[in-house]
Amino acid sequence: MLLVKEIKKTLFSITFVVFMTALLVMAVSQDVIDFSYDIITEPKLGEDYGIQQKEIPELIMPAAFSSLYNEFIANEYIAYPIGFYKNVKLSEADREKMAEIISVLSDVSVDDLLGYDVSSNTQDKMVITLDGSQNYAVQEDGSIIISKDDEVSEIKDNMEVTLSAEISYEEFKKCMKRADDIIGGGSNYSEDSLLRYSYVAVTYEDAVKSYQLIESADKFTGAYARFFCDYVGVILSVLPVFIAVAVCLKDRRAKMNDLIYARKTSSFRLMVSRYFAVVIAVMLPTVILAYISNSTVWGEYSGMSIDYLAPLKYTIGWLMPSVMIAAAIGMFFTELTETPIAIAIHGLWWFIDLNAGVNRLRGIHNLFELTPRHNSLRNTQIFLDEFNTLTTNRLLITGVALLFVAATVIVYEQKRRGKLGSYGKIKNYIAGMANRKSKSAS
Amino acid sequence: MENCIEIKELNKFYGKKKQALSDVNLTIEQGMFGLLGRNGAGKTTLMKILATLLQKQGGSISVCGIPIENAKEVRKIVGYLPQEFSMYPTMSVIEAMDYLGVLSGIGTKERRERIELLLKKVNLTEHKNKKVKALSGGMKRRLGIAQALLNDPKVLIVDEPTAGLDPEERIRFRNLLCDVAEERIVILSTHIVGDIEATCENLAILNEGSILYCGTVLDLLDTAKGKVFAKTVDKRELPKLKKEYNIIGMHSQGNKTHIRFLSDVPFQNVESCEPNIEDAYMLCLWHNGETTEFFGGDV
Repeated sequence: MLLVKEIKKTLFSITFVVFMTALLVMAVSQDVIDFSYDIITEPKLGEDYGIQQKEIPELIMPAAFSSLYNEFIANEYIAYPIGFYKNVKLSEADREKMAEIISVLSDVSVDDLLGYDVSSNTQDKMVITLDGSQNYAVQEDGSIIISKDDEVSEIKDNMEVTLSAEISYEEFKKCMKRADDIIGGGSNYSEDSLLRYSYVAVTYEDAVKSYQLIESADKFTGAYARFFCDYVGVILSVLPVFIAVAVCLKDRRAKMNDLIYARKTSSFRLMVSRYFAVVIAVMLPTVILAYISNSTVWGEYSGMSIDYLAPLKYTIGWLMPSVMIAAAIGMFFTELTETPIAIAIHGLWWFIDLNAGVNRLRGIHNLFELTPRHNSLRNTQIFLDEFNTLTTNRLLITGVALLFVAATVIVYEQKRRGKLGSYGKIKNYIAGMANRKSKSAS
Repeated sequence: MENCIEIKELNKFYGKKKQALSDVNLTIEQGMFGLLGRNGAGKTTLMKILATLLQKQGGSISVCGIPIENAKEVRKIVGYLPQEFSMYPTMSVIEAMDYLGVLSGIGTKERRERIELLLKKVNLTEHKNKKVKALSGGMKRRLGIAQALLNDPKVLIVDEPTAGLDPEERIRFRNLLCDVAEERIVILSTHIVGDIEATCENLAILNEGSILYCGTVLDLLDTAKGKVFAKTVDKRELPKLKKEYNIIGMHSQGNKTHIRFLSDVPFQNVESCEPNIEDAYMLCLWHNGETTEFFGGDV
C-alpha cells in the first residue's frame, strides 16, 4: 500500500513530468520511437552491404604504426582520456620510452629515432633534431618538409622507419598498449581505437551470416529493443537522480520530517518503498515506450518467429540497473546531506562515462560502466561476444545500487532517532565550502 | 505504570556545552498535562525526546511501561503534533490523512473509518477535498490534531499548538484537546498560560532545562495566595515603584495607573488579589532567580 502511495506521489510530481518530457524528446529526436523506416531484410547478392570494423592485423599494424611514428616525430598525440580531446606532449623521459617502443616495432635504434649522435656515425645522413617548435609533413615519397621561422626546406630523409616484419600481432598490441599508457590512455592506440584502422567492406556472406544471427538470436525484435535501449539508456542513466532527489527533499520542503519520523512504519519499509516507487515510476513509461517503438516493426515480420518479450527483457536487463544506481545515489546523498549534491556527484559520473564512450558507442569496457552502448541495429555477434561482461556489469551496478539503498535506510534511521541531525556536520561542511567559494569569487 | 509517562534524571545536551535539559524528573498521568515555559526553556526538546525524535544523554523514560529506547513500540502508542506542523501542500486533506495513516500501519478499512471519524471530530469533513495549502491556520492545526490521533494513541504530544491562532480558534482548539484527553495522556507544551489554565489539571514549569514546579494547577495557585497585590498609583510614581516591586500588570486610567505586583511580604493599605495561573507562574519564576528587570520594563 505504501509503495502504491509513493508511486502516486512520484508520478504526480513536476520532476516526473519533466522526466517524461525529456524521455519522449529523446526517443523522438533519436528516431527510436518508430522503426518502420529501418527494416532488417535478407541481403540480396550484388547489394552494397556497407562497411564494418574487423580486426585484420595486416591493416591495423602498418596504419597504426605509421600514425604513432608521425605523432612521435611531432611529439603531439591526440587522446581522449575521459572523453575530452587532449593534445598530449611527452616529456623527454616519456619520449625516450616511446622511442623504445617504436624501436622494438621498427628495428631502428632509439638513438636514431631521437636523433642523437647520428652525424658522427653516418656522414651522408643529415642530422635532424625535431622539437615542438618545428612543423613537418611526411610526403608520399618518404621525404619530410620541415618549416621553422617561416623558412621552408625540403630534405631527403635517409632514415627508413617502417614496421618490422618480424613483429607478431600480439607483440604489436602489447607495444600499442604501452604506448597508450605513456600517452595517458584514450589515445589512437588503445585496444578499442586500433579497430578504427581496419574498416572493410561487408561481404555478401558476412551480411547473410549477420542477418541469420539477427533472425535466430535476436528474433528481429531483440535488435530493435537493443537499439532503443542504446539511446534511451543515455538519459535513463542520469534523469532518475533528479526524481530521487526531489522525492527526498519533498518532506523537508513541506516541513513533514518530524511528522513522518514519529510514525510507526520502519525506516526500511519507507526508504525501500520510496526507492522502488522511483524505479517503477521511471521504468513503467520506459517499458511502454519500448513496446510502442518495437511494435512498429512487428507487422514486417509476420509469419516469422519474433520475440514479443524482447522490449521487456532489454529494458529490465539493460536499462533498469542504470535507473537503479541513479535513484540510489540520488536518495543516499540527499538523505545524508539534505542537499541536492547527488545531482552533481552522479551527473559527473554520467558525464565522464558518456564522453568516455563517445569513441566506441558499443560494448562494455569496464565493470562500472554506467551506460552500455550498442549503437547499431546489427552487429549481433559483437553483442553476443560481450554478453557475459554486460551481464556482470549490470549485476554489479544493481548490487552497488542496493548497497546504497541499504546505506540510505541506515542514514534515515539515524536521522529519525536524532543521532544524525538534519542540519548535521556534512551539510554544514558543504554550506561552509559554498560560502568560502562565494567569498573568494567576490 | 501502564498509563503514565515516567521521566527520571533526564539530561540532554546540544553539543558539548549547551545543556537543554537538566535532571528532569516528571510523572505524567492520564488526562491533560501542561508543560509551561518560556521560549527556549527546553519544552520542544522534551517533547521531541518523548516522540523518539531526539536522543537523551542521561536518565530514563518509560512511556506506558515501554522504555523510550524501544522507539518502534513507543511510536505505536504516541501521536505527535510538532510545533511547525505542515503537510504536503498539494495533497488534499483526505489524501494527506490517508498517507499518514498508511505510515502508521493502519489497515485500509480501519483507516477510512478513522479518517472520517476524526475529520468529523475536528470539524473538517466539509473541507476534506480541499488542498492542504488552501486551509486557514486554525484548520491546519485541527488537521494536525486529527493526524496525531490517527493511530488512536495512548499518548498525545502537542507542541505549541495554539501559537498564531485567533482567540476563537484557540478556544475551539482547547475544547478539542479536552475532548480527546478523556481516555489518554495529552501533553500540551506551551508558553501561553491561558491555554494551561483553560485545559490542564496538572502542569510542570520548565525554565532553562530544569523543572521549577510540578503539580496541580490548584496547588500552583495556592503558592501565590496572599502574594499578589494591586494598587492604584500616580503615573509619576511608576519609575520608582518599578524598582521596588515586581510588577506583573499595569492598567492606565487617566493620570492614574492600576498596578498588579508580587510580594512575599504582606502590605498594609494595599489590596490583596486572588491570584491567577499567570501570577503563580511569574511568582515561580521570580522565586527561582528571575529579576525585576525581567518582569518590569518600560511602559
